[in-house]
Amino acid sequence: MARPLKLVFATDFHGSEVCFRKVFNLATRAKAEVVALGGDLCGKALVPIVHRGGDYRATVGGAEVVAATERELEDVQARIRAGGMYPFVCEPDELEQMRNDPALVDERFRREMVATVERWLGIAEDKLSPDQLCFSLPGNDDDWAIDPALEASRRVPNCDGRIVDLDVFQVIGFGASNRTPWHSPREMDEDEIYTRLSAIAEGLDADRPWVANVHVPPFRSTLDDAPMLDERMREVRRAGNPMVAPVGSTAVRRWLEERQPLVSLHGHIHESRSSTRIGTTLAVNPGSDYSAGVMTGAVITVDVEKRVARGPQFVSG
Amino acid sequence: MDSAISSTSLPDAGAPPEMFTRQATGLVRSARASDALFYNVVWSAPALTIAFFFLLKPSFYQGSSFLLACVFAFVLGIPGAFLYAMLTTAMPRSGGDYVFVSRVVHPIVGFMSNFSWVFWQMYIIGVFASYFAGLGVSAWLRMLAGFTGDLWFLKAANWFGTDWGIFIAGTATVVVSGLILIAGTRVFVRTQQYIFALYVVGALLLPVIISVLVSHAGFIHQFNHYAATLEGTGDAATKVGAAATAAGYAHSDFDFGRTILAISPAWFVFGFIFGSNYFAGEIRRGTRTHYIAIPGALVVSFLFILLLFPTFQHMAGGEFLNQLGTGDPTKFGFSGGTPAYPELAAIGSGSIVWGTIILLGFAFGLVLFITQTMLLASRCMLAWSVDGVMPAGLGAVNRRTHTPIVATVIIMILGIAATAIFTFTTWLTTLSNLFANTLTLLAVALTGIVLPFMRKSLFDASPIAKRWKGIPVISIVGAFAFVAYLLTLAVLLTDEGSGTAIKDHVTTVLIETGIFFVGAPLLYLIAKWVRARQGMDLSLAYSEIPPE
Repeated sequence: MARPLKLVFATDFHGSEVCFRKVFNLATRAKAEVVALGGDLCGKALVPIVHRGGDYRATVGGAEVVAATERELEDVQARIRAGGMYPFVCEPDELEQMRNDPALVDERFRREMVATVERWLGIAEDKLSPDQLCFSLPGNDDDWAIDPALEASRRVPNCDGRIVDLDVFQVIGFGASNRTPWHSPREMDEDEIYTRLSAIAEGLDADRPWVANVHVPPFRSTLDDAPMLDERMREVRRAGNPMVAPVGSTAVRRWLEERQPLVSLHGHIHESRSSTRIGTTLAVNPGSDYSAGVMTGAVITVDVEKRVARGPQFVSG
Repeated sequence: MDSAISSTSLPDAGAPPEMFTRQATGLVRSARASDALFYNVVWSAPALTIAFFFLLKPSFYQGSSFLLACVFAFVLGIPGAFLYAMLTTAMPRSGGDYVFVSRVVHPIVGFMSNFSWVFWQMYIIGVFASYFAGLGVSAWLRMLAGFTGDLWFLKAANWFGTDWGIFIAGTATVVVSGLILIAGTRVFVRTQQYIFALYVVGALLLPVIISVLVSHAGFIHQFNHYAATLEGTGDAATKVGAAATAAGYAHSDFDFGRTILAISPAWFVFGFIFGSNYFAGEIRRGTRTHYIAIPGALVVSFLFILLLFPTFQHMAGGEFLNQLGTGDPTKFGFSGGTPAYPELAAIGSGSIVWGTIILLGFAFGLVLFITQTMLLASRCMLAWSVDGVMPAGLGAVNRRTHTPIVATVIIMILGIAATAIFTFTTWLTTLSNLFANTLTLLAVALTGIVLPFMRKSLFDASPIAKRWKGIPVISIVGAFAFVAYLLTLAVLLTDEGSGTAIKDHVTTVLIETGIFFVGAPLLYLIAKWVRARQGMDLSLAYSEIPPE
């Protein structure tokens, strides 16, 4: 009888290479057979490091930092990357051009996002042991430009919108989210989410276990409690207490209730680290603290033969 | 589908470059630091502490200056307040001391310090609930009798002053507070807003205004009138003096030693004014946010004491208050017990309406503290559950109300047990929790000292990575806090009023240290063993995963 598998899952890296690297080290420590990567790989900010008068200047954490040597410049770049942002060195006139031309910023963003994803997949392939399995997913915040890079990896297959057969179990991936106030790149109406998920699930081998890697969590599941925002996108607080509300997908909830995968892996709502059972499905959102360089992950034990999932053990480090 | 990158150029041409952002989720504006400041001020309890002091003064603090004791406690609390602000800035995650200590020093030390903290917060819930009955409900009913002469109110007040009256009302308070929490954030917050308004007006503003407007002679007149209506006692104020003399009272000059000991009740306000760090992960990051919220709350609470205490003492008279607390209350017409600070403020008002607002403000202020304490304790239990030290069921969160119901129910049960212990036994006193809770602070101070050395990468990447003559500033602040906490522990182990003086309460001290150093580590080791049998490595939950 095969022993239960260990699955390590982390999500919402948002450009933090430190967190991305940590997942594979966690998998090694936890002796995990499977590494599941959730959506939202891309960072949200570009930080210019301006080359001016022989030194380099940037604003990091609200304070100006100055690098006088190449070594110091590398340190500044590492600090920026650790927070999930993309550093780029530029001349003052180049920065001025970007200020005046949003298209230049878009182009720079895409270049950095694609390069980062390509580099990360290389890191993953280096770090995975020969017998470890891994799969990836873009999230609602990820620009469509990264998809070709994700598709190119054989070792880390992209499961977005399809079934990936890992032999031990099947995986269905879905990276888009329901509508958000930010109008991020991959958002859909609930009906469309349900239709697409249902269509993908038609291709499952019903006799074999499967896992869902769906970026947006199910509605009202404790995995989807997000801070309430006012019309100026500020967190709403009453008597000093943050107000929260469920913002998950009703379509995903309905689909999970109907289809009942063994495990369903979610992210999207960083603050809502939690797990629950939806029917027999173990639903998990390990949350994210990428901007502090803290990888929050989950270790899940999957008994494929008995079709039982236990855990998760949440990890943050 | 096309992408939706939209760039934002923030700086002016001459300013240092900042960043470009794209359209992505989560880019919300910062919450105000004032939210966290408000929370911390709510969680400190200046009015309650003044009441504690007047209750304890006749027995333990004769000749002391409470204001000076507050100054000392304020000074002792300053390094700790800055340390908590720095730690929260470096590790802006919800969970307070549990996160700091477990991630920096060792998981077992983190659990020890936090388990002890939560355990003794349960006790505080019992103390607050008991005072809700005694200083709140009973005093309010007696005030109604004192202003109307209606004997039914007096009988009811006296019943609520009995052990069973206190226990039943206290239990009801704990249950209602727990249900408010279970009902969900909206109910909790709405209730808090109303209660807080009543608390500020009734327990803070009205006593100050009345104490400023009413002279000592006016107060004595009101007191005599009140006692005459209540139980028909004439010239009660004179009888207060006579009762005190009969009980052996003699005027005490200023006593510096007793003032040092009076740091104990003042520590209640100034030692633990950092509740916001338990939800630090929900506060948006800013370089100054936590410095405003924690040391700022220390200053605001000090100002509250500066306003409340001298004005009240001016109205009631220091000597009269000493005599009142010493003599047998049945000798001056208060058969149900000596009137405490809130009832005296109500008496001074001379008005059933103002008096009601004062007493209900004070009483419901206690409910405010109980719900806040329950909230913090439930968050800590949730964190234990998430880390796997406690069963997952303990942290189960209701989908509709977002409330950890099991944890809250356990807190309610332990709170009721604490109410019974405080009411029916003399095992523990009003301030007994301070010693154990200060042990937790000591663990946090140690964490501050060692953070730059044990978590170098975290320190170097944080906004607090500052050094003075090569020494990390947080280590210096931690060392100051460590010394301040040691000094406070010395006071608590000496002061008979603290309930943890070595010479009178060695068993209590042993229990408190035993829970911290033996009980909690044992629980952790059992959890580690159970999890290992389930195929889980508990240490993973706390481990620092290397990026390389």
